[in-house]
Amino acid sequence: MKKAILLVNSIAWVTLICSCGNSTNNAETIASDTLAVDSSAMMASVPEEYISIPAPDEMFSFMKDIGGAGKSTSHLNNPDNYKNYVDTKSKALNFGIYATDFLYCSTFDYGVEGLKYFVNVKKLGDDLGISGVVSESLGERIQKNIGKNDSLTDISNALYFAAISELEKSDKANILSLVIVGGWIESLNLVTNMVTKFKTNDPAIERIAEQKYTLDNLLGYLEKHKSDEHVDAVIRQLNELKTTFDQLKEESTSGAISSTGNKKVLGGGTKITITEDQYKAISAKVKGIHDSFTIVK
Amino acid sequence: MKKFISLYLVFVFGLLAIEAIGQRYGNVPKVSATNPCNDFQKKSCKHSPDAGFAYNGQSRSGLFSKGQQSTVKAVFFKGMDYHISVCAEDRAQANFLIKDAKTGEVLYDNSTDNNTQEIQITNENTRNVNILVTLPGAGEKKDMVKGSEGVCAGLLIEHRRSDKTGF
Repeated sequence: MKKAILLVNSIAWVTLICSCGNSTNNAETIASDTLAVDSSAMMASVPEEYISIPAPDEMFSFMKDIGGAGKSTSHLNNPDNYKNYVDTKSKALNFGIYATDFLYCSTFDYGVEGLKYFVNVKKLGDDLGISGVVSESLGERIQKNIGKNDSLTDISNALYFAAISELEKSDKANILSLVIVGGWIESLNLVTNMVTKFKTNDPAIERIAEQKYTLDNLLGYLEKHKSDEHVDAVIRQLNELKTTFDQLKEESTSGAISSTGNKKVLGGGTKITITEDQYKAISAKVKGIHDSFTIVK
Repeated sequence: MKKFISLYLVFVFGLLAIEAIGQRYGNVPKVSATNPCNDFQKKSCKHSPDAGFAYNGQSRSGLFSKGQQSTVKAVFFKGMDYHISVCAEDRAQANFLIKDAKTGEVLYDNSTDNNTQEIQITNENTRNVNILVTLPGAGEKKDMVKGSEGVCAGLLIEHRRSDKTGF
C-alpha cells in the first residue's frame, strides 16, 4: 500500500513539475502573446489615423501676442465649485477646465489667483488617478515663480501636457476625452469673453471662427470613444455647437506654395468668415455648454 | 494517517486539475498596455533653433513597424509659424507628407526636399491638415515584438506667432 501511494505520489509530482515546466513555457508564450496583444494596443497609440487637438495654450499665447489681455478672472470657473464635482464625468471635464484656468492665470499675470486653480487641479488629478503628475513640489515651484509670467506659463503648460500624456499612457481614453473637451470649451469661453466689440477682421474673432476646424477634429476624436456614455453625451452637446459653426461662410482661395528664407508658405486653403449674429450665437452656445459642465445641480 | 494521505493526494490532483484547466482555456494576460514610446518626440526630435517656438500639443509619438504609415490630423492656424520635425530610433529617416484634409492636395513632401527631417511652415489660411508619416522598409510589416521590428517614431510640432512683414 505504501509503495502504491509512493508511486502515485511520484507520478503526480512529476506530472505537476512537468506541467509547471510547460506552464513556464506557456507563461513565456503567454507573455509573448500578451506583448503581441499589447503591441497592438501600443500600435493603437499610433493608429492609421490619429486626431490631434490644439491645446489651450495656443489660443492664449495668440491672444496675448495680439495684445488681448485677460481682463479679469471673473469668467474663470469658481474654485469653490470643486466640491460639487463628485462623479468621474464632472471631475474629468473640470480637471480640463481648472487646468486651463490655471494656464490663463499664468499667461495673463494672475499668478496669485492661479494658485487656487492649481490646488483644484491637484485635487481632481488625485481623484482621477494621475496624482503623480500634479505633485506638491510642483506647487512649491509655482509659489516661487509667482510674478514670473513666462516661468509660470511654462509650468502650467508642462502640467497640462504631462496630464494628457499620463492619461494616454494609462489607457484612460474616456477621461482624456473629457479633459480635452473641458480644456477646449474653457479656452473658447474665456476668449469670447475677452472680445469687447465685434469687428469682422479682428484677429481674435477670426481665431474664434477658425475653431470650427478644431471642433471638427475634436468631434472626430470623440467619436472613437463614444462607447463611453459620458463621452457620447458630450458629443451630443458639441454637435449642437457644430451646427452653428457649420453656418459660417467658407471660401476656397487659390495660392501656391512658396518659400521665404527657410520657411515654406502654404498658400490657398479656405477663408472662413463670421457675422456678428453668428458670433453671438456661437458665444451663447459655448457659454451654455460651459455652464452645463461647471454648474452641477 | 490514511486521511492525511487522502487529503494530500486530493490536494496534488487538485493542483493538476487547475493547471489542466489553465492550459485548456488559456490564461488572462496580466501585463497592461503601455506605450513604450511615450514622449519620444519631445526627447528625440529636433527642436527649432529659432527663438520663440513653443511645444505644440498636436505632437505625437508611437511604435512603428518598418513600412508603416500613420496619419496625424492637425489644425494649422493662419498667422502662425510651425516647426515640424520627424524622428525615429536607429536614425531611421522618415518620410512625411502634409496634405490639405479638405481637398487632399499635397502641400509638402519631404521626399522632394532632400528628405529633410524638419521644416518650418506658415499658412495663409487656417486649415485642417493630414500629416502622413512613413518609416521606410515597405513590406516588412511584422509583429512588433515577436518580429522585433518595432521602432519609436515621433512627430514634433512647435509653434510661434509669425513675424509681421511688409507695412
